[in-house]
This record gives sequence, structure tokens and C-alpha cells, in this order.
Amino acid sequence: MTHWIKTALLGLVILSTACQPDAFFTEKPEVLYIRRDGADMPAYIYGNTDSKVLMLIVHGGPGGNGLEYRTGSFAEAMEKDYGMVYWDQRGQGSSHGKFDESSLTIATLVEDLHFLVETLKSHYGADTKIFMFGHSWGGTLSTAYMLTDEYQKDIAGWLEVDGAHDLPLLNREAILMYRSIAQQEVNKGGENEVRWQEILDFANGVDINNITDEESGQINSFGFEAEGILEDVFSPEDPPTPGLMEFLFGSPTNPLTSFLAGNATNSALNDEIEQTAFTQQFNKVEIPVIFLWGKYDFVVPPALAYTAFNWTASPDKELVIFEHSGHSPMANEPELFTKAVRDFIEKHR
Amino acid sequence: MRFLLIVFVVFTFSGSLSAQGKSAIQLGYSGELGFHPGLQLGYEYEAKNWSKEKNGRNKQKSLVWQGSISQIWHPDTRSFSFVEGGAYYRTLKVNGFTRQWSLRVGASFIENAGTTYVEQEDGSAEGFQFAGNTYAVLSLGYGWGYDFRRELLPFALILQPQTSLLFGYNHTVLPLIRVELGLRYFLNANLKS
Repeated sequence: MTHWIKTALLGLVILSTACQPDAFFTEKPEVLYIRRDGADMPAYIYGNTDSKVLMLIVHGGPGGNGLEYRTGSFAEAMEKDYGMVYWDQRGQGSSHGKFDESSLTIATLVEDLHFLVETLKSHYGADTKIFMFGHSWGGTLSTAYMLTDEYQKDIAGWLEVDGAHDLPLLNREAILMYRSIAQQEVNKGGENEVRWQEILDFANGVDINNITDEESGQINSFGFEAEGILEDVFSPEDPPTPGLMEFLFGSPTNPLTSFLAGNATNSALNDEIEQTAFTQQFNKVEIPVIFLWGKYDFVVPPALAYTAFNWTASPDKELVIFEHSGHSPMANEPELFTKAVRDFIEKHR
Repeated sequence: MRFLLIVFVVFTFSGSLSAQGKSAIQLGYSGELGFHPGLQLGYEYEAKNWSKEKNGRNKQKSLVWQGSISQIWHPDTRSFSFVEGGAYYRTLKVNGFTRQWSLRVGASFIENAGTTYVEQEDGSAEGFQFAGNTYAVLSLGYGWGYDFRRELLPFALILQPQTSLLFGYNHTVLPLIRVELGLRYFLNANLKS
């Protein structure tokens, strides 16, 4: 028995000495929760809140969590200059509470987001400037927020990053992208030719005027795979990561809980999301907005950025396409991305 | 702090609960996924024991009632507090190795870190500390360990992974995996050489 105990203790000592965490991951956030309509939702605030500028991350998924975005050099750079708010949406991440599945609608999540914005203004002062950063599904949600009542007036600027604000358009454009780029890659040959051929066969077999839910799911899956095997997409940087001990004992999010809760929420929201098409309502967007998109985003094709940009009413609108990025340009081209975001915030703070 | 106070109270009064040497105090580590740290304090009472001989070897079996409180701390996120009770079916070999199966029910309170801003009817926010939600819990576990009474020490060391289901979590049921590593201290143990 004593041999087992000695072995276990030795293992712990080795772990604790071998895996020193990056200082970035040992910083303590300010934590606040918002509670509305049966859900308790955490927001973790890191960085320079004295700047009176907050960037509110509206995460992807549905089924992701806010702190997924606190990796890589982009987050580290932003936190030096601004406060960063990593929020877990209703039914995702470490959010919990008791609510009926029928309350899982985009409209409810918009009201959650509005309450969070009001709470942040109350907590940090009415003179605090809030920039909303919506990525992927977070782009859908933040678009719905901008189109609801006068909510956009609370926001100093909106960053829509590869946002899925129009699913029917997204699906059609993704199929067209697959057909075009997969054909080019098949013609080139190479080690991924077989995978590209499979994607091409799939795309050629889809009727773009009648895309099923199953095909929509496959479009999403192939999207991540395609950008992963495309040489023009820069591989994600090797991001700073928490040390093993910090991850095991100190990380705020339990990845298993986040995964399970997120999947349940994704299923509940899926039907509504598949019908969502906001493009022609961008003429209601009057605040400063920047569309940040990866050229090779098969998950949410850049055609959504171009059309939304054209429809947007705001005179302060910008469109930046990252030439070597897929669905997450903040990971593919972090330096260019960080510069674009910082320039936008400094212009409108 | 609250947990330490409860530990003190239980140990203070444990003497009066230790009739006939059939009871034990449990104290141990209880971590979510094994790693997010927590503590557990429990009391158990042996309701029944019997022995069975197989291939000339004697194995003791027992049915044990158990109650416990435990807490798991997620720094900067939320804490889980559990109050649970239930039954263990336990076997003990002559070489000291023991196994146990548990079925427990109870409640879990998840306490939010920081301030919780609650939406009021007029849409404004009011801040509260220590806010959270309570969930019903059903836990199933299987553990194994070593009973030191064979070596004239009134302890057993047990490792027990268990799955807990939190009912009404969001709009569904949340499975939670916990791993307990703890000491069981037998009160008034009848130790014979």
C-alpha cells in the first residue's frame, strides 16, 4: 500500500514541477453573473477595464463558451488595451439554472444579451464604451440584437466575424464554394485529392434550391475539414496554453459539462437557426460596424460579408477579408486581425 | 469556512453516534472529473453484515447506510455543494482489499462566484452575493480500496469514481463525474491481533 501512495505523490510532484502555466492563464478575472428568465449566465472580465472600453465576446456554437476565445495572441493583445468580457450564453458553458426548452429562442438570447449590456454599463459606468464581437453563431445572435428595438444604440461598434446571419444563403454559397475550390484542388492533385473529390461529389449532389437539414450539417462538417487541408489557409498559430496543473485544477470551465450542456442547447435552437435570414434587414444597422472574414471560410462563406456590407445602412462600415484565413481569422492571421480590430475600436471609442 | 465548521461539529458529536462499533466517519477529497478540487465529509452506519465462503476463502459483505456533505470548488466560476444519503453494498476480503457499490440521492446547490445581477420586473438589475440554484441529484458509484483494520489500524482508504445526475439543470439532465479519494475512520473499532 505504501508503495502506491509514494508513487501517487511522486506523480503529483512531477506534474506540478513539469507543467508551469503561462502567466496569462493564471490571471484572475472579475466574475459576474446575470440572471434572467430562469438562467444564471457567467461573464468573465479580464484585461484593462480602466480603459473604459469593453469588448463583449458573443461566442459561437450554439454550444461553445466565452472562454474558448481566451486563447492565442489576439486575446492577449486585446486585454492589454481593453476589458474583455467572455460571456457564457444561456444553456452553454458554465451557465445553469432552470428554464423550459421553449425559452431557448433567438429572441430570448437577445434579451439576455441586452440585459448583460445594461448590467455592464451599470457595473462599469454609463460612460463605458461597449464593442460587440460576434463570431459564427455569435454573429447570428449579435445581428438579431442589432435588429431588435433600439438596442444597437447601447453599442459603440459592432464587429461581425464570420457571422452566420443567413443560413439559407450560407448553405447555397458554401456549396458553390465547394464546387469551385474543390474542383481546383482535384485538378491540382496532391495528397488530399481523394478528400477533395469526396467534398466535390457531395457538393455536386446537392440541390442548392432545396438543401436539407442533413445536408446543412454536412456542409458545416466539411467546412472545417476543407479549411484544414487547404494550403492557402495559414495553420493556426501555436497558441499559448494553460499549464497542465492549471488546466486540471484551476480552469473555470469543466469541458465535459460545457460540451454536454452545449449540445443540448444546440439541438434545441437548431430548427430556428436553419430558418434565419437577416441579410435584407442590415439596412437597419446604423452604428459603426466592421465585417471581418476569412477568404476561405467554407463554414460561413464570405459572400455573407459582401451582401451584409452592401445592405448595411451605417456610413461607418468596413469590410476586411483575410486572404489566408478560414472560419477563425483571429487564429489564422492573428497579427493582421488584431490590427484591424484595434484600429476600428480606436476610431470609434 | 462553512465546510470546516461542519467538519468540527460532526467530529465533536461523532462519539455519541458510534454505538456498537458499527459506524465510521468519512473524510476525503472529492473532485469533479477527479481534478476540480473538493472535500467530502460523511457518516456511515453498518446496517447488516454477513460472510460468505468461496473456494475456502472468507469474504465479508455488508450493507451500509451513509450520509455525506461535500463541496467542489471551481475557482472563479461556481461551487457545488452536495447533501446526499443512500446505501453502500461492500465486500471485504481477508487480505484487506475492499470494494463497494453505492446508490445515493440528495441535492446539489450550485453557488455562483462573484455578484449575480438579477433582472427585476422593471428591467433593472439588482446584485446579490451567494446566489445559485438547487438541483436534485442521483449518484451511482463503484469504489475499491484497502481496509487497514487487518493491520490493527481503524482506517480504510477508498477510491471511488461516481456519476451523478443533476435533474432540472437548464432544461435537461446534466451528468457529472466525481472521483472521491478518502479515509474511512471506524469509530470504536474492535481491533484484534
